[in-house]
Amino acid sequence: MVKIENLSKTFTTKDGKQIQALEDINMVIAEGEIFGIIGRSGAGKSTLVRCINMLERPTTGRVIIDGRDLTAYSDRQLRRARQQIGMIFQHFNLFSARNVAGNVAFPLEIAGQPRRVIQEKVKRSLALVGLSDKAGHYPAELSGGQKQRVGIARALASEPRLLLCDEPTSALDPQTTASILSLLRDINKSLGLTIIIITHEMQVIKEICDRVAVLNQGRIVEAGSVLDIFTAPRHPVTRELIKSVLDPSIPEQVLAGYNPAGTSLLVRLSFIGQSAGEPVISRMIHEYNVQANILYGKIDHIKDTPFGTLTLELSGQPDALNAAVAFLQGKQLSIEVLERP
Amino acid sequence: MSNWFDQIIPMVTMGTLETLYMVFLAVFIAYLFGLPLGVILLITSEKHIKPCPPINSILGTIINIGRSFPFIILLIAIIPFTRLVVGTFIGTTASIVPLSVGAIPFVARLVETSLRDIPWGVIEAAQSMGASPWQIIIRVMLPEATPSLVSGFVLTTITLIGYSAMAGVVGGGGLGTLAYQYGFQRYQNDVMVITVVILIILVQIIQVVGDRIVARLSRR
Repeated sequence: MVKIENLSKTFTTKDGKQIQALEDINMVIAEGEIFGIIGRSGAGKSTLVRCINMLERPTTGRVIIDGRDLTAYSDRQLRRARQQIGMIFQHFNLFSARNVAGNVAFPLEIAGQPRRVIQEKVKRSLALVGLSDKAGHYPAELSGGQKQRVGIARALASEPRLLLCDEPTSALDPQTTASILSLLRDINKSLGLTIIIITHEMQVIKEICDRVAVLNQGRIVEAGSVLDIFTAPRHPVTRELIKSVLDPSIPEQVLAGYNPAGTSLLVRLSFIGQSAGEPVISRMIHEYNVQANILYGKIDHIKDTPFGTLTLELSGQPDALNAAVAFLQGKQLSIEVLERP
Repeated sequence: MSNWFDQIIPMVTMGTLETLYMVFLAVFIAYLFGLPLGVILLITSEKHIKPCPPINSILGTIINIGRSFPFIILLIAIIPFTRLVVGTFIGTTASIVPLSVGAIPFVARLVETSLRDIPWGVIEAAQSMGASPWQIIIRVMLPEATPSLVSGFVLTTITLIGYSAMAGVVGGGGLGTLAYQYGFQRYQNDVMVITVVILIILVQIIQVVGDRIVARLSRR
């Protein structure tokens, strides 16, 4: 659906300095998926999403959407293409002089659609985001969450197949964030819409994304399925970002009560999806003659997949401990032997 | 007292009407040219929807030169031009020329400032939906800036009432001429006082009505 090839963007400042905002970006986004791009502020996320619909022209590289190379397009062709790409923003960017219906009608008006069609589509779009009763209100009269819903309705009015989201929930409180994310997820499912989300919040990625790319200093440092990235992050930036939502460290109180005696190991097990079904721990205890003391555990959800971590203290003979760890490694779960505190 | 009814009231009424005629026509002409110039000034600036540095700097310079002319100097300096357009440089219709010319750069800057206040994200949103620069100007920038544009319109009108009195001193007609010829040259203090009172009332009415309209238009 979207293919970005060797994309770079360099800005020239007033005093002639070159600033490389994006460097050699490559990614392929499949039809119907929710793709997240995460990074700290200043990583180049906003520039990257603006390069996709050419609000910023890339310095080099290509952006191919549905087989059409947008970088080769003239301004006029681009305007046409943009009518098929929706976009929503952190600060909503609604037209304050137009009421809700007027905002949603805007993309249809500029595309020159007849009035009756516009009315029809505005109605449908507002129903989709659950704001049919607010058609006559002005943006200033709405809450943040409602404004973003109008933004979504406006972006969807012209029935695009791709939706770009630039920090869609960063100006919203956690509860509103959740409702906007579930709305995005619903429209992704019901319309088969491809969604690209830019964010600095790992929570957003965790809730709704299928795949994610981690952007740092203008480069993609890591990319893959959200589950893989969360369970086995490789880059320090990724680890740091994940920590904010899935803190794997053991709480202080637990460690305070931990008193190692004899030969023992501290291990952390991560269970993903199906593997949570097998009684691994109990088999390990039976077969390898080790004791397991559960120190800490929790279960999270990454999109729809349950993801659990369990921190155990294993005690027994050194040989038995090694064999037990080898047994666990053979299972479909990830195991990490932790340093002694 | 009969002097009042026979002379002063008709004179003052005539003067007021002349002032209104001059000012409103001049404001109209000033916006006819100033509004597009203000739009061009903004959109040709760096990183706007139609960046064009040469046009922007040339236009900016011309407007600054226009604005640095004291009105009383402009009034006299463009007499040849006024003659060319109207045929004479004396009288109310002739005054409209310097009033308009003097107000065009003022209006252009006011319009530019009003439009510049629109959050860039709103314009970017319109671009992301495939709007052309023309559509952005007509359907986004002007409607979004309407309250601020109306405030500017009120300011321009009031400023031109002041300027029109200056034009009156050099034979432009209206309340200015009245105050100068009767109030100053013939020591008729009552005429002087009444013209000042009428000017105050005019300005008040325009400001109050303008503020109401702005308040009604504001949606932010």
